[in-house]
Amino acid sequence: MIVVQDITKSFDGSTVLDRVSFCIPKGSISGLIGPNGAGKTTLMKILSGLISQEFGLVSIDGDKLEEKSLRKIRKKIGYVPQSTALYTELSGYENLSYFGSILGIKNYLLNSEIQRVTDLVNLQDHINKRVSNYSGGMQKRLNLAVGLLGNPPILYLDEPNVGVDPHTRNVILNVLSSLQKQYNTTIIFTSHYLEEVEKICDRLIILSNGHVIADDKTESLLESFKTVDIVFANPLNLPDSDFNNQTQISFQYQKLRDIMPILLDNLNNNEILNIQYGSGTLDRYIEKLSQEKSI
Amino acid sequence: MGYYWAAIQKEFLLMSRDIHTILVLFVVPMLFILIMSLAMRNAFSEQQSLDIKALIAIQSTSSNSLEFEKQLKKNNSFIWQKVNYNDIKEKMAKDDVLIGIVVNKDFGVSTEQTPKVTLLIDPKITPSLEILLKEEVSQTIMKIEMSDTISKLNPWMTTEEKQELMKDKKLFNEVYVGSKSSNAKKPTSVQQSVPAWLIFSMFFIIIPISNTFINERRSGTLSRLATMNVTASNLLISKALPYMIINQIQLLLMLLVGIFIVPLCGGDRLVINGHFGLLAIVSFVLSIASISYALMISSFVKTTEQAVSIGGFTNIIFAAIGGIMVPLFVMPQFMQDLSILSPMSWGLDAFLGIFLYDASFEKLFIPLVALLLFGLSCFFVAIYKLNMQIKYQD
Repeated sequence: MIVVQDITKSFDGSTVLDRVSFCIPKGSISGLIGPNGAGKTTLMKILSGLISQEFGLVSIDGDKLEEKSLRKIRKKIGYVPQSTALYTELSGYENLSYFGSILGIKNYLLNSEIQRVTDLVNLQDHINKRVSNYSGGMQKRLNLAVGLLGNPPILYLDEPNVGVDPHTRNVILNVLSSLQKQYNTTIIFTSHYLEEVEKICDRLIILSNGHVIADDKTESLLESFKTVDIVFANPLNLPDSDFNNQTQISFQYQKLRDIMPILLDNLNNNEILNIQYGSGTLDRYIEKLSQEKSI
Repeated sequence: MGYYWAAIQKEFLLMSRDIHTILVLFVVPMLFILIMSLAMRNAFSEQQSLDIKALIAIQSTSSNSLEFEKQLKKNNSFIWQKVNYNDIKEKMAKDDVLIGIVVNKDFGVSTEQTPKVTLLIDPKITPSLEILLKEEVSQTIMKIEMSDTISKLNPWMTTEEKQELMKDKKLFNEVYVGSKSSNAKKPTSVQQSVPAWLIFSMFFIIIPISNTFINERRSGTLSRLATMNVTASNLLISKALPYMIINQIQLLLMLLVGIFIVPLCGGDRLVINGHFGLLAIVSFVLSIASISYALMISSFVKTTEQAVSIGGFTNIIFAAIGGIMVPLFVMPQFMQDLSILSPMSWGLDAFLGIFLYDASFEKLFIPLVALLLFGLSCFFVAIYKLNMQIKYQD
C-alpha cells in the first residue's frame, strides 16, 4: 500500500503541492488526473524519490520514503517518465540490455527478461532496430518496456499516452491491465484524458492547483461527472433559483432527484422540449469542484 | 562492477555510431601531428635544407666570385639559383623569392673595406632567417679571404696542404641534456608535436562527453537512472571510465603516427627517450584532468551548443597559453609565465620530460600533482552540481 500524507512542495516560492493526501491499495490501478500544472509530475517525482517534499510523508509497504530507505524502496519501483528517456542511437535491445544491467539483472536472465518485456509491449519485430528509426508510438512502448524490466511490484507512469496514436494507447492500457491481473502490480499513472483512465483505473485521484479535489472509486466519480441538459419552450420562472429566466439548464445527474420536482411544480404553461444525459467533461468537473472548494 | 561494465559498453556503442566524435578524437589530431611535424621539421633540424629559394647574380668576373657561389651552394640552408644582375629584382618579385644576393664588381679584387656583396631582402623574411643568411654570407666571404691570405703568406704551400688547413674543424661537442646517452639526437619536431597535439585531443573529449551527458539530462535518462539507484558519483565515474580508455587509445594512435606514419611522409621518426611506465602514468593523470574538466563543464551548461562553445573556447585558450600551438621557448617571458595557468602546459611539461629528457618520477611529480588536483577539484564540483540537479530536478 502507498500512503501519501499532507505532502507539500513549492518551487521558487510558489506552492505546487499543498497538503496532498491519499492511499493507493496494493494491486490497484490508480489514475492521477488533472490539467497541466496541477502538480502530477511533481507528485510522481516525490513518489519515486527523485525529489523530496518539504512537508508530509510517503510510505510504501510500511517503509517511510526517506534517505536511508530510498535504495530499498527504489528496488520495488519501475518508473516510466513522460519523455522517452532512451538512447536513440542504440537499438531497442541495447537499451533494454543496458538498463537491465543497471538494475542488476544477472546476465543469464537478461535475454529472457528482455524477451518478456518486448512481448508485453509488442515490439518483438523491431527490437534490433535503432530507436532513432522507431515511430513515436514505438518509442513510447520501449519507454514502457524499460520500466517493466525486473517486474517491479510498483509501477509509476507519467503521462504514458501523451502524443501517441490510438493503437499504441490501447497497447499501453492493455499492458497495464495485464500487469495488474498477472502480477498484482500496483500502478499509478498520470493523465489528463478522462476517457483513458476510466477504462482501466480502479480509482481516480483528481488534482487541481496542487490540491486533491476528488479521490474515489472510478465508478463513483464517473457517476458524479454525468450531467442532465433540459431545454424548455419558454424561460423558467424560478426567482429564487439560478435557473430563473433560463430556457436551457444543465446540472449533475446526481442532483436530478432534488431538482426535478421543483422544476415540475413550476412549469406553468411551459413545456420540456428535450432532455439529454451527458457524460460531462473532466475540465467542467474540475472547474466546478474547484469553485465548490474555493481552490 | 556490472553497472560500470554496462556503462563502458554503452558509451563505446554510442561513440562508434557517431562519426563526428571519431573524427574529432582520432582523425583530426592524427592529421595535426602529421602536418605540424612536417611543417616544423626544419625549425628543429640542422641536417636538412630549409628549402628556401634564393637568387644570386654575379657582377664580378674574378675567380673568387665563382668560388663564393660554389661555397655558398655547399650550405644546405638555401637553394640558390643563378640569374642575371639586371633581372634579379624583377625575378624576386615575380617568383615571390624572399632573398637575393648580388656579388659586386670588385669582389675578390679590392681589399678595401667596401661591401663585397649586396643582400636583397624581402621585408617578410623572419629575423632568424635574416641572421642565418648574413651569417652564411659572412662565413663564406671570410673563408675566401682567409684562403687568399694563406696563399699570399705561404706561396710554397701545395693545394692539398691549403685544403687541409681550410678544412672545417669540429669546434664543439653537442650534448642534449637529459637524454639517455651522449649519442642521443637533437629533439625533433615530431617529439614536440606528438605530446602537444595528443594533449589537445585529450581535452577535446569534452565534445562527446557533453553530447551524451546533456542528451541524457534532456531526455530524462539521468532521472530514470536515478530512480534505478544510480548516484551522481556512480554516473560520473561511469562516464569517466570509458573515456579514460579512449584517451589511452588516443595515446597509442598518436604514438603510432609519430613512429610509423610521419617517417613515411618524410618526417623524423618519433623517439621516446623516457620510461613507458611513466608515460602511462602521465597519460592516466592527464586523462583524469581532461575528463573531469569536461564533466564539470557539462554539468553546468544546458545545451550541447553551450558545451561546445565554452569547452572549445577554453581548450583553445589553454592550448594557446600552454605551449601547444606555439612552443613555449619562442614566447616572450611574460607569456611563458602565463602558461602556468594552463593545465595543458602542466601536461606538456610532463610529456616532454618523458619524450625528450628521460625524466625521473621525481621530476614529473609537480606537474602530475597539479594535474591530479585540478582533475579531482573539477570532478568534485561536477558531483556537487549533478547532485543539486537531481535533488532539485533543475
